[in-house]
Amino acid sequence: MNTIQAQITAIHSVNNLNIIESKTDNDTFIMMSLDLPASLEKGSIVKLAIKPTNIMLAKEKIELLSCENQLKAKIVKIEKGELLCSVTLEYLQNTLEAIITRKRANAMNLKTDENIILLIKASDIYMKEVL
Amino acid sequence: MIHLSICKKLQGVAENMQLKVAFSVQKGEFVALRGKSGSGKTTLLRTLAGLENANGEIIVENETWLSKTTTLSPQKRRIGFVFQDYALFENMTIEQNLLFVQKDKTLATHLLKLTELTALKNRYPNALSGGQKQRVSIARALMKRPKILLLDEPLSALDPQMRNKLQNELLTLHKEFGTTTIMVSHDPSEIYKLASRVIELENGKIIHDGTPKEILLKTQGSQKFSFEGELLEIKKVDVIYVAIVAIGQQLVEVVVSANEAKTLKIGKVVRLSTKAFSPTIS
Repeated sequence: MNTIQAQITAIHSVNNLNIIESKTDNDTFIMMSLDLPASLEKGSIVKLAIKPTNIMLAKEKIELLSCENQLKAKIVKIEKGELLCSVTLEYLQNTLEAIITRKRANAMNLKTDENIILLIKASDIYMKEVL
Repeated sequence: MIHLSICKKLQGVAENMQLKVAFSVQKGEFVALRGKSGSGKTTLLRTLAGLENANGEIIVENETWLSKTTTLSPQKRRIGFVFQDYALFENMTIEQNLLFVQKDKTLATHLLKLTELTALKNRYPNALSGGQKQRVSIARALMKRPKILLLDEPLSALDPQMRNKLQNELLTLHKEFGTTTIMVSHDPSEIYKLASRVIELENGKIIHDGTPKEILLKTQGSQKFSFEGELLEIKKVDVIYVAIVAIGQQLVEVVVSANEAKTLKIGKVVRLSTKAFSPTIS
């Protein structure tokens, strides 16, 4: 499972719907959520999680895109299957995995040690735990 | 190999309802039988055992148990039958319960060991827990080295932990003895763990016959993660809607759009589905 530790910087709420902003050393994360744990507040340290199938890869940042989270990471390993491709990434001290189709991995000519942008929608991130 | 083709009026249900089924079971197969109450499951087992008569044919390993001209008595059918309510001889010890069926001390000792009952063999049934009693009746059913083992919801009266333990024991016993088994069960995890085939009855007819996965995996289109629940409430939040759905003993929330919300009715049974890629397991 992909997890990233971050610190809550803002919580915007409408009834039980929330947009939560948190930051790592490099980025601000935007996440959508329904009801939140009672202990969560500004300053809380949380573990964010993303399923490998919910991470998109791009060669460069894309302006004017509705995807809320774009993070710079480095490819450390590429494992190609018949149909799918598992890309292991290094983001700050975290190891993340993205699962994409082999066809796109080939088309993008992905290489190890290459810098890459991870695209993650706010509705695809969830909070695994409040630390 | 078992061939069965029977027709019989079902008692106590809607008028003119008939149990009319035909199927074959391979030697050593473990078949789960499911269906609503009144669908004919127990009648089917009882007919196989010879406890009820029917028109048709039952042939077990080339021996005719039922035909137009023959009706083999229950005693001669080499059947092991386990009921939900144990049906042990209360005036006999555990070991005597087993030996009553067949005077085979070696087999009895072996079965008691497999079902972890050795230490209790001199006790009487009333000194045992429900789980232990059911282990005795399963061991006893195997004493005859039956050609078919019939299990009529054998574990449904037990708590989940004991159920799980006995499911594993049934699996061990099935591996060891290879007895052709037909088990009535409603529990999907039990069926998946034990059975290699599921036959589903409805109103006395077979409506599904396939592998546990084919029959039990509830899908909605290509979505493999699917549950049925009752829609309790839809609440508008900002520009989206949140539906509250009761599934089993718990509530879940699902985000829906305004258009989706319009088509939903409170109180209705709904199906929640998502792709197999989306859920997380922890």
